[in-house]
Amino acid sequence: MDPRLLQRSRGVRSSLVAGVALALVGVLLLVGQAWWLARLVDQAFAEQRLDPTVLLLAVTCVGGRAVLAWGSAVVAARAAVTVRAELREAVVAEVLDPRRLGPRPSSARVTTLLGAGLDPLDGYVGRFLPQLVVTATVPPLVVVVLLLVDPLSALIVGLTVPLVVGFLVLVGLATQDRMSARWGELSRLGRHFSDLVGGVRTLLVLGSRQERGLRVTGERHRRATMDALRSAFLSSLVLELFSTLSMAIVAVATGLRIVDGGLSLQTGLFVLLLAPEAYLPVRRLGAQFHDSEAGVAAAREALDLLDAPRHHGDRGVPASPAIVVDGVRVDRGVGAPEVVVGDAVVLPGELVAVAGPSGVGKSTLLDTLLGFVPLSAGALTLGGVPVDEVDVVAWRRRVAWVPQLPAVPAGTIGDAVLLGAGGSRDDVVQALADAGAEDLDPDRVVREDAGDLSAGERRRVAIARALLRVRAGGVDLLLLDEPTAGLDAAREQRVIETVRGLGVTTLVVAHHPAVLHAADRVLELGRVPEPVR
Amino acid sequence: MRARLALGAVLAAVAQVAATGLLLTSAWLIVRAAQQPPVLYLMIAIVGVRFFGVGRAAAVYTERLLTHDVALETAIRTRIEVYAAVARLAPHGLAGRRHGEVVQQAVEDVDTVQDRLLRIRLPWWSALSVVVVLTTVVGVVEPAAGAVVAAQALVTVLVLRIAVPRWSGASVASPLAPDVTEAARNAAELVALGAADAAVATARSEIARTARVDRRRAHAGGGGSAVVLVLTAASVAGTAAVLGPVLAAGTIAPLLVGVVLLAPLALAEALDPLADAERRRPVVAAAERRLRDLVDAAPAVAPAVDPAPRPDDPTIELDAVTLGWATDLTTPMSLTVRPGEVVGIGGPSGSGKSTLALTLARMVAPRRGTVRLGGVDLTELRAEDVRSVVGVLGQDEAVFDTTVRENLRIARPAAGDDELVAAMARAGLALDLERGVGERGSHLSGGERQRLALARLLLGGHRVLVLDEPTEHLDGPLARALVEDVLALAPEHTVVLISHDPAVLERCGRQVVVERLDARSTVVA
Repeated sequence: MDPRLLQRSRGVRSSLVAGVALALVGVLLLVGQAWWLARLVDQAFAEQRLDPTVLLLAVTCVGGRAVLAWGSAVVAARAAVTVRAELREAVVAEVLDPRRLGPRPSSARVTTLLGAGLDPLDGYVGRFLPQLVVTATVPPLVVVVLLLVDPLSALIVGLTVPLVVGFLVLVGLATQDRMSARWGELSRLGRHFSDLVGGVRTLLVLGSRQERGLRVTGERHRRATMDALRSAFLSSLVLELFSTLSMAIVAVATGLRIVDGGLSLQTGLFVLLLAPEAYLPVRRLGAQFHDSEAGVAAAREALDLLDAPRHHGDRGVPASPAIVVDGVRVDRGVGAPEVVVGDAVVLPGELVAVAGPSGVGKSTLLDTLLGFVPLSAGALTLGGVPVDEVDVVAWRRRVAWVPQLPAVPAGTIGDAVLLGAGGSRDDVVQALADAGAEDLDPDRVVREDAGDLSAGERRRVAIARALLRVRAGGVDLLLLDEPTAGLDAAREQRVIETVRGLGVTTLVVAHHPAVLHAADRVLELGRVPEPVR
Repeated sequence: MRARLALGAVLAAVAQVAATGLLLTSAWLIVRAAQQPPVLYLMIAIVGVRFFGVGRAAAVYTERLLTHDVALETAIRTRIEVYAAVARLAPHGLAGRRHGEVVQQAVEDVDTVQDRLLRIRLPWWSALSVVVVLTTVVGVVEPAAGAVVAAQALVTVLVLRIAVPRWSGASVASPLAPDVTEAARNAAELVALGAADAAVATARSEIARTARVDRRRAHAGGGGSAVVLVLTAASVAGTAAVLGPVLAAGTIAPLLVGVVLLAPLALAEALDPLADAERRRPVVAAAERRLRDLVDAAPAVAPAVDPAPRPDDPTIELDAVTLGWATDLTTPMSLTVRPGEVVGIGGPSGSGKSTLALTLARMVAPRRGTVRLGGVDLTELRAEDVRSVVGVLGQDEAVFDTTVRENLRIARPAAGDDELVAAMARAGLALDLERGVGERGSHLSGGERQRLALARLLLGGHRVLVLDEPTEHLDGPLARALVEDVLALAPEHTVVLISHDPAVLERCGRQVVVERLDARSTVVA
């Protein structure tokens, strides 16, 4: 269990408390049920009659357990809902936190976490955690009750339950290495199918038939999974074997003592009926282990996301700052190589094009200027203030940014242009025209995720948005990431002229000669490689 | 596979019956012991208790291995079927839904449908075997009690089967409104624009609203186990009621009273897993329905009824072709591309240039008019045959999470390393073949991904290459070098170069401009 979940989630804590309370009542009812049923059978045997009062008590206990089962399920399901809502809120607040630092989590990951990705929590919070509580409370209580009526059975159960748990842990530890060694391969093989289906168009074009590959990989996946399962089920085999054998020992020991006359039939039956309840929670817990793994993984994914560092700066940046980049390096997270941004100076009012081969860190430079990512080495100052000491929220109000694939929220194009800045309809129309997007109707409604806008159209909407922001005043820096990619020559020219005319310090990442040509100077990032021949 | 499945089912039943046997034999043992017979008489029961104990554990282990194996094997077949279905629908996906969503859903559904066997059928088989064994045993001892137990089983099973799926349908988590996920996707820009606070507030209230709805539904979820127990209580009362008179009359051996009275409890233990199974049923059924729809969906391009052989002549003709998906995108255009020719396709952004590329690869059918390859109408050719002649490089080609080498080999599995390196060089790329590219190529830059896709296409050996904005993410000198390299592919290959860049089009032998339907179409030959 992840302690962070317990710390963070009120839902988890209250669910655990409620679980303990319900488990206690549950034990009482179990004891009652076993006691009255044993009495019923004893009477039938000894007196050849069934006492209606005893019968009523036994039936009431069974009925009470029914109510309890329903109650626990409701409490657990509500707890799962609460935890899911808490984590979702935390994730949204986190990704939208202006002071969050570090590589942005992939949008696919965030979307999954806000959607079905947290559903495994139902199994974890709703079933596994309550079962964990039951497992921790019920067996000891059963042993205590047995101790009162039949110390020998209590001894057998009291010794074997820890033994069962102990063996479970031992087998778990013994197989853990094998399991984790396979886990990596398993998930890689598991992703194979999703990769292929996602890339189906490419595969079709290349005439690559995947049926055989799917079968081969599927077979490998099956064999690897079966190997892993053989170990995994071994622990449940041990569990079953020990708990049923322990029960058999209790039953036989009880039976033999009844023969001797050392034990009454009623006590013997009571023991027989109650003792399995000491093993049952452990067995159920084992069965729900799968739920727990998926749930823990989901919770961990969300919690990991929430652990990003924060930007703590609070200094203001002087008006029209010069930008000095000195040996900046940025670590882009696990698996991705470190980006060497290098050195640069940008003076107020300059229009600087940023060029360089793909992957050299052009977009990363813009990210550092916006205070999105921490530097792993070097220094970046804005008007003499190091970027990590800057009040980023205030600074970003003075920056307009057009990313490579800009966001266009569902709504009208006009709304999208007005996002983060005010303006009249005429301003919007003018900004769109200046962005080379005079063909886009401000009243046109865009679907969710701008699925019906082309990349070029999205860029032009974002350029219009940036223009509006600059024209509203107070903007000291304009950052454009490949603004004219996907635009035809006439529109590209229009955008370049507009940007030139703004007179704001501008950094534009570009490949196109037209843009490079229009810049005051070109900043070459990274070493220009020899063309590979 | 059938044999293994049958054996698995038998073992599942054996395991559950053994559990019941354990409880009832123990009860018999103890009551018999109360008669204080010589210990020897108890030995059979003692051996029985141990036998059931060990037998149960062994049966459970073997059964789980067998059935999981079968489930995994079935999953392989399902995956192949689903892949074939998606391939038929590519690239457009299902009506109105985005391709990525369809794919994501299908991948999850394939995993979910495995539960049909493991978490629904098997629990049912073993529960029903216990019902049969138990009602028979109790019925032999005391027919009236047997009837009560049978009634308990019947009513429980019916209620679980009918009511629980309905209740659980209500307890499935409600989805969040799309604008919350959208806000999260666009987080960086909203933060940069200072619009994050408003988005957080909207998301908060939406999340709280969803939680309220889900919480109200929570009471429906846990009904299954409660039903099992309520009916057990009723059955205990019922068996006691029928046993009373029989016991008084002395027509039943007191020895067996315990067995009969405890039978309802043993039955409850066997029926309880069904509550879980039925809770799972609606989820599995929904996944199966979606997969069936996917497999049954009409293909994006109708397959040729009686396919003509692959033409040797790679001449492409467009005869009054209107391009488009669900609606017309362009005005009718006619064009002939002869073998070895270089043709540049230009036109403003969003005019349908990319649709032309997909139409040539027979991935989209033209809205009207005829496209011919070597004089044969594309609709009379196998799609695979067309694609072995016409290769398309789109703007968002898939890169697979493996090494550079494996990514390249998709196009030509038998290629040696020197061929791969040469192909990369032609695309202006010099990556280590061993390098892992990451999920969706995340360890490569946008330009590297694009060039890797180009190198891969060059390995494919297509006679006609359709390149959709190949230089988009490349910087000046490399882009120019690449265009020269691409042009040098002719006359060995026919090259159709789609670009909005006049400088690129300028270098092509011939230019064609595609214009949108709302503009005047100008087809320059």
